Amino acid sequence: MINYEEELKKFKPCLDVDEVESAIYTRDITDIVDVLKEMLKTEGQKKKE
Amino acid sequence: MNCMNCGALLNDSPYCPSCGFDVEVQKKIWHLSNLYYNQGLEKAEIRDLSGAIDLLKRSLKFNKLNIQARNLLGLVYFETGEAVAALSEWVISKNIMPEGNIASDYIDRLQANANKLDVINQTIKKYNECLSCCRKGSEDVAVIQLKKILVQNPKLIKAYHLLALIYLKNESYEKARKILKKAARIDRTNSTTLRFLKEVDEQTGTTTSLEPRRWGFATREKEEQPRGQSVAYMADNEVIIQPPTFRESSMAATLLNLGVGFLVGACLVWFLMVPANTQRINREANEKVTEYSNTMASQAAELTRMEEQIAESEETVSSAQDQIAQAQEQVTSYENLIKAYNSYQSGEYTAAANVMQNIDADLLGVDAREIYDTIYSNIQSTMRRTLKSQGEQAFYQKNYDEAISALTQAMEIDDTDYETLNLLAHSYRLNGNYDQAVEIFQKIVDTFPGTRRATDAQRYIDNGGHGFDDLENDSSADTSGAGQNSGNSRTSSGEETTEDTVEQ
Repeated sequence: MINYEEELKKFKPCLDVDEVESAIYTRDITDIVDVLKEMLKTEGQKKKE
Repeated sequence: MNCMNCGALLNDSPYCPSCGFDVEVQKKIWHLSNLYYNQGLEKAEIRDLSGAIDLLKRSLKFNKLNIQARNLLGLVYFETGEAVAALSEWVISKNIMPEGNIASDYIDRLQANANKLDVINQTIKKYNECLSCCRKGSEDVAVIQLKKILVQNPKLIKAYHLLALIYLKNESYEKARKILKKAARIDRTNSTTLRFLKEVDEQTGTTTSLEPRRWGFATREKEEQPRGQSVAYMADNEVIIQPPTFRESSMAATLLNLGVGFLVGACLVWFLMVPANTQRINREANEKVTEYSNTMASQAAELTRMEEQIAESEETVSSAQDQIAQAQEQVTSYENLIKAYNSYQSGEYTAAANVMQNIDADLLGVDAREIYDTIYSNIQSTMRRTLKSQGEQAFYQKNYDEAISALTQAMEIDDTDYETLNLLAHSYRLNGNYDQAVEIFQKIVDTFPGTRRATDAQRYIDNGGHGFDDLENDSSADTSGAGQNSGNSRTSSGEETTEDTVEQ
């Protein structure tokens, strides 16, 4: 049985065209390669220390 | 593919040719990104948009520089009605690869059609308002607005979901099913759609079929679709499938649909409009024929009536003419009666008798008839002699018709006069009227039985009223005798004397 109130909470407002710029800037586009790079960078710093 | 450490271009070696960095993991990661992209493309091709979004997002998580995956993700977002999310992906894609990127084309096309973009933006704003109304409890307003939104932007799948949710709350399950089926046509495996449909099925006890109707040409169209759209190419020992454009139908399918449309239209015209038009023309023609027939019948009746009127008029004219003639005859009879009366008063009995012959007694009135009868009775013998004399003259002049007429009138006055009867009988005989001749001869026989007159008359009767060659002379003698007797009678001027002479 679907709970109307609960289901309604799952609906999020859509972004309109005016909000495209902010949406792009706030977008997290980090991928695994970036994570790997970060890990390598951290590892390198640890080795230096 | 560039090295994640130094950015140098990599080759088939597992190490970077520039910095010697081990790039095997990087290559595997990118390989996985391409794999997810391919799977996402396959999902998009079968309109499993939710599945495609999930896989393409994974692909981008492994490699954010996978331009094809990002562009396709934008397209899929656009197809679900989320134009802003699509624009975001394409803008990012364009920033990553400014040259030779199809995302630039997508952005340009969207910006070129400012009206459409504006409509999409308006529908998104209205959707957000509807969502707000629902949270405030104004579902009725939200339903009206959502219906308008879906007319303007029929791809906004979130609007379908929200409308279906309101219908589910109002227990309008069939309406919800109809809306969710439309949503399923856009995105077949959307989890929200399927979940709501399951709820509808449970509430109504009827399973919703999401299978599209299959037509003959639809199957053919599906077979032709991959040939024209998908482009496969090799990149680092991997097969990359790239659709040149994301279209629901090809040009051939459009032309085919147009052709089928024209064919159906032509069939409709031929089987519906043409027979209806023909029937209308026939009906109108029949009505006109009926109208003309009625007109002709009425005109024929009118003609008959007129002809009857003409016949009546002719009869009236004829009757009037008869009456006029009768009146003239009556006038003539009266005039003759006056003349006869004057002659009678002055003692001119012969003239009176001549005039009396021209009077038609039937036309006279009662008083005039009395006068006529008085004169007639007094000058009867005179009239008979006159008629007899006229008959004799006509007989000897061989004018038998006139003789018959005069002698007949004389016989009517006195039918016992042998000379009159004998001359009349011979007039009939010589005129060729043998039956009348026999009749008169028989009268002689009946009037003078046992006499020579009767014997002679009987001879003619026995001979059928014809004459005798050997008796012609006798007959001539008789007739001449009769004439002589008549002559004698004229000379003696006495009837009894003439009869006595004939008897001797």
